[in-house]
Amino acid sequence: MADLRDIPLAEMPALGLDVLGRTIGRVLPDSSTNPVPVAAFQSSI
Amino acid sequence: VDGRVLIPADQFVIKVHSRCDLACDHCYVYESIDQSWRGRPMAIPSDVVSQTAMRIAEHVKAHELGRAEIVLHGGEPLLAGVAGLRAVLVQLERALGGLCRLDVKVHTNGVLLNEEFCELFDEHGVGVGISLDGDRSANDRHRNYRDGRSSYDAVIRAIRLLSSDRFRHLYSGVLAAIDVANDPIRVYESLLELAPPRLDLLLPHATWDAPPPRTAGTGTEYADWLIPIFDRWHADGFPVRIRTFDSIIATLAGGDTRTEALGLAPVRMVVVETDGSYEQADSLKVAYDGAPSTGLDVFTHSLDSVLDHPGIATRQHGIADLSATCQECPVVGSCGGGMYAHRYKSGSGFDNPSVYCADLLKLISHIGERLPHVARSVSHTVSDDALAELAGGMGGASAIAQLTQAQRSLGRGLLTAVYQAGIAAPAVDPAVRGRLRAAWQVLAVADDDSHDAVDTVLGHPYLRVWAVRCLDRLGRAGGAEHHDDESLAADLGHLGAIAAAVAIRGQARALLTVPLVEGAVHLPGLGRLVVAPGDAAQAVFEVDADWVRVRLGADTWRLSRPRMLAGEALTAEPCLAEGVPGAADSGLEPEWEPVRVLTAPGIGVALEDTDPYRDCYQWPVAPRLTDEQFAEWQRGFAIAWREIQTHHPAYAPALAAGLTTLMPLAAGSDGSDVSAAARHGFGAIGAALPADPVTLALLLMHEFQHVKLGAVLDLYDLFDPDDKRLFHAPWRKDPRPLEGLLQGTYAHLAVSEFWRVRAGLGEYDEAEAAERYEHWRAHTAAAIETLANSGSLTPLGMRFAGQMRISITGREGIN
Repeated sequence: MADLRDIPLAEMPALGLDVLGRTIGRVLPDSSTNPVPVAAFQSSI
Repeated sequence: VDGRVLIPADQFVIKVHSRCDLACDHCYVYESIDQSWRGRPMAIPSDVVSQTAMRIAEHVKAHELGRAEIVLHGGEPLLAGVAGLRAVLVQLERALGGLCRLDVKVHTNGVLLNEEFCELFDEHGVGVGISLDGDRSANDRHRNYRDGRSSYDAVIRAIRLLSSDRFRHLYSGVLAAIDVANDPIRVYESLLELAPPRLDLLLPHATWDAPPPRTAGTGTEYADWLIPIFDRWHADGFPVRIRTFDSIIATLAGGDTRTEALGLAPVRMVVVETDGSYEQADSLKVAYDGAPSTGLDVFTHSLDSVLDHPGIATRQHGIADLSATCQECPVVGSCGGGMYAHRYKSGSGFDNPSVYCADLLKLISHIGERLPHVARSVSHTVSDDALAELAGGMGGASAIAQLTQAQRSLGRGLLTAVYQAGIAAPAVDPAVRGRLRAAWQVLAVADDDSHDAVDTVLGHPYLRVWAVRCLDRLGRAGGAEHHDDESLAADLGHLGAIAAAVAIRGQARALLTVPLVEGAVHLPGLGRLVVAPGDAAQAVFEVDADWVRVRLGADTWRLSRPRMLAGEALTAEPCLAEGVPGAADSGLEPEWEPVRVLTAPGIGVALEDTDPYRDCYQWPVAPRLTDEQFAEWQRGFAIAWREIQTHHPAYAPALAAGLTTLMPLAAGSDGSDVSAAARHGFGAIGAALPADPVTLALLLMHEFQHVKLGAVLDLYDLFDPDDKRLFHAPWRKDPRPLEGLLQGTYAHLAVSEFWRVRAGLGEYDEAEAAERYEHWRAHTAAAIETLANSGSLTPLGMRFAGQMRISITGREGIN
């Protein structure tokens, strides 16, 4: 579980749900906040 | 495959139409060196769709995938028409509907998007992403019709349609290709005005053979264009998800990228063209003619065969697949060599850094410098000694403090996740998003100015219950699905109540909107203002150093902030909006009902009977207690605490350090004792007040075991969560899952200890206590062996069980 105590709340949203998922994913086992690492398709059209 | 681990695909880009109604001069499909589109069917034929769906289903089954993401792509996918897209969606759902969660998105230039398409996407839960390069002048630089007409008005019309109440839940985001000739802040502001849930800012596709335009001559024009946007986005408080920045920040923090353009994560994507041929990432079209080709197709080859293709297999090994220059680069973890296509150079192929290497290095370094806390994040652990103490059934103040620190991170993470998910979810009303932003702003400022107030409020046990509920609901609404707007708005609005509680505790000035739930405004940890049953959905709170003013419709009342903090019950004074005393038009006299505190020597525990999220136990909650009922609780608690301190002193420090809240439950209908702990309610115990305070002491010791173990399980895996077997628990008729058995066993360590001591006190219940001690000791010892022999405990779980065994078998006889 990542230690988030010293990260100012103002900066926390920068982490995005992917990183937060490393902390909160353990209490939300079925959540989309705990994704499998993947290089997601980036549309370019 | 041949000793390598095959990483399954879970993203499938299906080209449903191979032509486009625009003629953007920067398009990689039609304007690049690869011209394979010319020989392909325009619309995807039915047999290609059914065969593709079958291949995906086959792959999902073989690899037991829980989710498959489908992107309907082109060319311009809407050229396939409503009927054509409906046929594709129906075939995909038929093949995959029962196998896994299916996330379908369509990516379009938007010019054809109309209500009929939106209704189809609504019916099938399809998210819609739109391409737009910025304001009119930025967009018209490239995105035009073949005759040179601008596409801007048509695209804006499409985004307005997607932003309407009816279809907002479908709006996935906006994609913009960068042209450094455009003003970056103007592009950012114009896109932000369209309130996209997500934004992609794309480096234009280029290679070393065909490098991107660089007119300034700095060599870092693209970083110099993106950095002002990052700085503005940072200063704005990250109002929208921007995938490039998100990926860099995530990887700097040790997480994973969310885009194929950055980072070291393996590729799990396959493209299916309209003729059924499998392709690698179609951005490779910019490298050389035929570059994306695999020579494989859906009629002849499985998806496993595609993943074994050298072009894809070589992009699944992280840093080992990169050029020597990249491998030595300090930001390789975030950059990952950039987009694969951008590395291409005749002669050396893809064994090069990105043609944007200098830009990526500068941008990533800049973000790392701007967010130093993020890049330094570390992990929580519990010391070996503390873990051994906890495993033995005890754990002192230090062990509890370590668990509490981890819960603080969890609270901050959950709070942020609710905010993030709330402002990003297309289904959330813009007004609700606005209130979320206002609440977040108060919290972010208070975190700097009055950190203790934030810590106290986030330590409230039912904040996690609320957050998990919100995230669960947003997760379900996060796809393009409808949901109950009003109750989700009330749940998300609770962030305003949390911010108000922080402002009141931290003496901060704030103006916040707070929801009314069942006629009351609830401030976590402080209490509730009971207004009246009515239709009002929210009240406005204005907090200053002395007063908290509450506006509801035409009425305004005020409450003394210091008296609220002192825990006094108050009647709100009517006042004029400016704070001058006056009469309320409605004649209502709202009552402030504070959270009361149970006290005893060395401990203070909130008796929480107001929080709207406290109903998280298997037993119904009790309504707000009268003063007489509170006095009974106070008497019972004081005696129970004395019992624990006197006869079970080893348990007292942990309780004093970690028990923050008692929540009254409704009494059992048959007179039996009722108590509970909830995994999401760290620090809280629910109980009906038993007639005998000694029983309350037992309930506290028992339930706090669950609280401790829950917090340990938040940090560590003690067993295999995939073991779904049920096990005999000696104290229950029904078999229990592994976690239930572990929780029960751990709780009964304290129960047996309670009776062991009690049997030696020479009190009225001596004989009964001795019998109960033997009963629970035997049951607990048997359950420990069941756990240890399950074969599903982790090595740490085995150590934990070993400590429990020592604790139960090593005890001395009855005192």
